[in-house]
Amino acid sequence: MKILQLDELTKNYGKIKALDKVSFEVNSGTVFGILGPNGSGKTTLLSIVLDVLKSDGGSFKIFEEQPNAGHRKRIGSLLETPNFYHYLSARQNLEISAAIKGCGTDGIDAALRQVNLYERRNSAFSTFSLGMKQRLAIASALLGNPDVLLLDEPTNGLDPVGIAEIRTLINELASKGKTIIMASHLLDEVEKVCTHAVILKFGKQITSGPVSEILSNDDLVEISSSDLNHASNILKDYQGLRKITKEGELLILDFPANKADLASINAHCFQNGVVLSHLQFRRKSLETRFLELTTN
Amino acid sequence: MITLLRTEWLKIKNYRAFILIGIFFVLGIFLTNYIVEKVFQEVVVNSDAKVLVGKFNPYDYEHVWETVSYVSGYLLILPALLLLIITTNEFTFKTSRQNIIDGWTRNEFIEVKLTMALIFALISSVIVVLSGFLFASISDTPFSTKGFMHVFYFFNKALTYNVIALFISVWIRKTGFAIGIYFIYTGAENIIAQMLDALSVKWRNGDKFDLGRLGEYLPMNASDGLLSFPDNPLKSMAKNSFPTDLQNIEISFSVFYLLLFIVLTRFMFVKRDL
Repeated sequence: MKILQLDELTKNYGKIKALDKVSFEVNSGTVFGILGPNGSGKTTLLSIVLDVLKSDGGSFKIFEEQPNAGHRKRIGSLLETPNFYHYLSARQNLEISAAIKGCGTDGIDAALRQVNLYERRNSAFSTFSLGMKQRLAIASALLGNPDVLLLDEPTNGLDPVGIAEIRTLINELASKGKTIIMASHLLDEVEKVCTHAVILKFGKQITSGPVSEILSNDDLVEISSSDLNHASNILKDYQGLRKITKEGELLILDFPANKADLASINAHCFQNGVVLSHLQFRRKSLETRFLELTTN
Repeated sequence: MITLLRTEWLKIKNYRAFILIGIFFVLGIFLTNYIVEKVFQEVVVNSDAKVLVGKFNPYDYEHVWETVSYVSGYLLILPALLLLIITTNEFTFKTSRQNIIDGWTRNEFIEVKLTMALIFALISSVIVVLSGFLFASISDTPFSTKGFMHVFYFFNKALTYNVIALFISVWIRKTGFAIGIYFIYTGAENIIAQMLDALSVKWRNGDKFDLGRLGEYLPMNASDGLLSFPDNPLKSMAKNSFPTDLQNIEISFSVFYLLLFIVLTRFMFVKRDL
């Protein structure tokens, strides 16, 4: 089932195009990352999906239907910043969220325990730190045990322990078959939890698909030997090799996707008098790939 | 709507400003009427002016509904201010966004706020009726519903003040700025009304040409103008120099403005980005 389908979604702020014909789909059961530098349109996109902003063009569907308020009740959402009544306690705020979602108050204590806020349930929201506010927003999103979670920068303001806890929580929820749509500029975070992603830049969609496909644009191979200059010379005309980069005691060989063969490289070097002391594939990090895509 | 109102109650029941302004308003109605009653007794009844007013008592059953509605009308700025603070807070703390994200429609959000404006007006009217009973019972006169229509005029004024406050809240969104605009608008409308009233006097040609009090065709003044201190010999002496109060026209204008502000408030909230 398609959880979310975007069709040329467009949003303008005056002359600025915050979203420019963005189209992608999110399938049920995936952990979908929306990536992009600050100002790329991530929050704008999620705000349109949640009816906080109005789009200027294009359309979208939720659960393969025209979007309505009932859909939003079935999605646990955290958008941009935690928004709560500052004079009410954590529990009282969640009672309001539960009343709007129509899910009853039974799950409030469990949600508060899940984000380690149960002990502070009676404290006013205004007394919370940024991290605690963020945890409360996640607790609110978990109310009613929704099948879909839509999280905008979920680890914003959290300390390293908090970030690890939320990452574990997201992985746990994903393993239970929940669909998670997550906007973030923290690439390490996305790489660790997302199965699929879309990359945005200045409102334009740069690429989208499975994270493995986004990463596998190039094959990178690391080699090392006692004479790196000689190794570099004998490899410069190697078939399919696009670029050789020296990184300390390593040479990085850049091939098009699926074109590097470690056995052939090893044989070629050996036949030309170079004995390799190190030979392995290097997985390109999402950060490297992201920078390549967004800085061109 | 009951579910929506229940949720709205969860939002405000522990809000200190709601409790404080509510107490000030309720006590204010009783206290203001008490002061007016005392002043009338001291300045008019217990002085030489008594010969001019005769047996007139603004707080006997015959006049009480008109008096309490008129006097209490000056305090209606308080519930309007409360509604304005509650609504602008929703924008300041972005809880209006959160309510929509959690599953309310925009229509539901604004409709429950408009219903709150109605409920505040109804509660204010009930308090006015209770104060009317209290003060009239002290006057020791037979029960009468004469002039009870003024309680409805009071309700109309309360609703108008609340809806205008709601309109400004949804339009301006920032609490301090919205309160400023509300007061500036109230003051400006009164100044314009006085200027228009002066023109009405100037243009009036006996019974042949009488547009009524033009100032009372403005949004707040239309509902204000329906309320007045009861007729009495002192008031009658000054009354003839003013244009006639064309009450039906004032009611029509008042209802028109009420509907206009409701439509504009709703339209603005539904169409604008949050």
